[in-house]
Amino acid sequence: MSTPLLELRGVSVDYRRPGFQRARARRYRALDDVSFGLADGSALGVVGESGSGKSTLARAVLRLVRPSTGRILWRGEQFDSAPRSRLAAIRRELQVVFQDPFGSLDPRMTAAQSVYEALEALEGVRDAAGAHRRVDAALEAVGLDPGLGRRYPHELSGGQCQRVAIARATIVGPRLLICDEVTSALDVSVQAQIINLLLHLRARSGMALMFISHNLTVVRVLCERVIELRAGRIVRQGGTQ
Amino acid sequence: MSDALLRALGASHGGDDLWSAAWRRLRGNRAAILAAALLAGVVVAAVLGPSVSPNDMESVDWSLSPLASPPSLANGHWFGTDANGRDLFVRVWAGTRVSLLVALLASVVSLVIGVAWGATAGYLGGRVDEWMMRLVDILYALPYMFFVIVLTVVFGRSLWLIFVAIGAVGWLTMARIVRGEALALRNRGFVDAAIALGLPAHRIIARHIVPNLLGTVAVYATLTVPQLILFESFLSFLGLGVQEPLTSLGRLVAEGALAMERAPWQLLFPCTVLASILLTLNFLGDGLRDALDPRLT
Amino acid sequence: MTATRDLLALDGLCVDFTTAHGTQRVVHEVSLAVAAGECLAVVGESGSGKSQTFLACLGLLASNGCAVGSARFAGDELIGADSEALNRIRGTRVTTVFQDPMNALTPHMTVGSQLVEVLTAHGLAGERDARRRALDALRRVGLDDPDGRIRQYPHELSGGQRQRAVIAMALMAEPALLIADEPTTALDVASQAQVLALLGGLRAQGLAIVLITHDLGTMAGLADRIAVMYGGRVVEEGPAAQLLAAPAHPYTEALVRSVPRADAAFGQPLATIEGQPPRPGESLSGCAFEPRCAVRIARCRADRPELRASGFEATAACHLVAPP
Repeated sequence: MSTPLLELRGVSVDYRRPGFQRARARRYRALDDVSFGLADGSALGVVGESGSGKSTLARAVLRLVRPSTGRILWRGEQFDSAPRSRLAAIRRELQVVFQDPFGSLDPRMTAAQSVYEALEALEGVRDAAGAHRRVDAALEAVGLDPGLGRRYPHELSGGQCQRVAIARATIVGPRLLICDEVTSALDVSVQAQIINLLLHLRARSGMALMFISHNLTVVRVLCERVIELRAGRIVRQGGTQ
Repeated sequence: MSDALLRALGASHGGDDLWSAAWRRLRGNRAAILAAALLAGVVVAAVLGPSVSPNDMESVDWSLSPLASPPSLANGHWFGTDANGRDLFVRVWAGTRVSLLVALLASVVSLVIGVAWGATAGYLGGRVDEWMMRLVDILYALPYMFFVIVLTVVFGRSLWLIFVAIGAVGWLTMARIVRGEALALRNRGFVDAAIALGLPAHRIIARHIVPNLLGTVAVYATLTVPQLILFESFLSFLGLGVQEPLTSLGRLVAEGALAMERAPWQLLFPCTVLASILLTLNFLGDGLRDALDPRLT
Repeated sequence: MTATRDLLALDGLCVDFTTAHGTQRVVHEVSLAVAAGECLAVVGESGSGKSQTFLACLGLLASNGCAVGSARFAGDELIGADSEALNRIRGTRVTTVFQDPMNALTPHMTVGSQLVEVLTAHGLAGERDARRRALDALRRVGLDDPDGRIRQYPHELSGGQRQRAVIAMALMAEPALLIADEPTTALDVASQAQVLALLGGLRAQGLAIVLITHDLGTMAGLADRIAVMYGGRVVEEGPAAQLLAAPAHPYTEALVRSVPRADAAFGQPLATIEGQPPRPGESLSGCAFEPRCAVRIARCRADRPELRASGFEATAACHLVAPP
């Protein structure tokens, strides 16, 4: 089998609870010895109740939180020891969309500015006009009229904000998109639109997907494989069908 | 509860950013607009006042007897004269200029330092935050008067010294407030998103943290200015402030207090101007806070 | 049209909001009824006005909101009633459960003291009696270890447990009607099922419930009647089973179709409703759903359809509905 795109080996994440108890009592294991692989172009669902560690998993992969033990590998190369330049390249290939549609966009920036910033940060912009065209194209690709780019997050609906977040995450064409409960804060009718959008984007670009959700039905539509977490451990791995 | 609905109701068709919405709210606040108008009036008077009057700051009017004479429209001393026969009208507005200038400049300096310090400490958190804010706590605990007196003794009295002393006071509160807001902002989703984009800490602080703090900063800046004016006035009152030939509202109040019984106008005019500035700035600060609070619709 | 046995009867209720852009109407002429012991589910997307309708009934609108029309609870008019009269009803005879339990629970008070406060603040019971009833309420909502929970703080409970605590709080004064606004939206699937089962049990015991939700899938089996709202109006209303099996309004039908099915296949796009719902307060001529409707005719754009009979004790606002 070829090298998986993303691999976790024995990853555990400990949080320290604030308080005056002894250090050991304060430690809270959010992820416990998690190991799995995700192949290029495939879709993996991560399910579990709230508090099962699903979001911690996403944060660990994105290096928003440090694993206490274990290794995370991208294309067979360990994340932590990667030099600066390599990290930047990994970021171009690994992006994320979070749960709160309004919270994940800077309220002081227009939708287009948020998407532009991603382009600037991940690829660098030499040709401003060309970059703006790419931003418009990214907004269209997620089903938004480019004119909406001038609006601020508080002027958009939840579904529209989430589309902007997806545009921001996919403008540089990542190989893996992590979706952390991206539909949980949306109306059911809007959820369906976002799911279809993700299906469409995957079909078009062959992008891999790690879809975190507590809704098994939705996971079944998007993903071939699923892992189930409970209290930070993987309790079930397998196909969804 | 009804957030989504109220948000949708309030939105126009693009480009309605938080500053224009805040401006609209501020415009509707009568007290704040009145205060702003009054403050503007004081500033205009401070700028133009001395040129309007036939007198100047320094010259003694020997024709008066006694030298300290009450306000009168006839002899051109509209606010009267002080104990040395100098025209009070011009001195009050000249003093206002100095007070406002010193407070404004010191506010700007303390704002820049305070915001940078607080935003960095709040965003980075952990040990860095601890040590940075511990320094603030230590400085807070310093008895300022002794500090200023010692500096005066060592370096002599100069305008720059006043700046340093006042600026050193102003940034501490701003740093604390900004640090609290930055701590809260750090946990917002868009900061995580920026980290996931690989933006370095200084860019996240500059691009995402500080702009979202500006509302609070604007409010506290307007409230810092009166605080600094008072501090400068206090220093001048003690004789530690600005030197002749400059004068400030504090000095004028000090001089007026000495002559309070015999020549009440000497105290009345500088006090009124000082009180007006403080009141209007406080009202304006309150109005700004209401206007910029995103939770009020 | 409203029977005298109705516990809550809305008649021509409208809600207006005054903003910097002028006065906008977000709820138009809503007439609904809830009988004692009945569960009415009000279904609609965000911005359809479903929450504002019931907030208006309880006098809980934001300060720039204003309700016009009639809402009667057990015969007493609620719209325009003074706060004293409303306070006698709110929290005692009509209680509410909202989406986020942390908005109802005070973080620095124990669960027990908040439950007790409901009765003591209304003068309905003494301290000791209230504590006993609090324990009963916690048992009734299925929280384990009631004696322990009484002493815990809200942050020590999970999301589902907190929502149950809020429901317990809503039951303390033995209300006749419970208004639940998206009570399960913030919960994960397992907790959702538990809370819905709890509500079903309470309804079986005789509590009338208004369940406001955007998710048609969650209230099947719980609701006796369903009212569907779109663009601030009721577009269809009728007995639950009938409405779900044979929806008369195209919007209802699209909603029913877009519920993800348990047998959904991998890679199969879900049925969606193209486009966006109208923004609240947007005034339109003609039917609000027309731009997104799959079966629209020429008449729909100019002429707004009124509610007309579409079945047994059911109405729908659509030109294509033929009277039975």
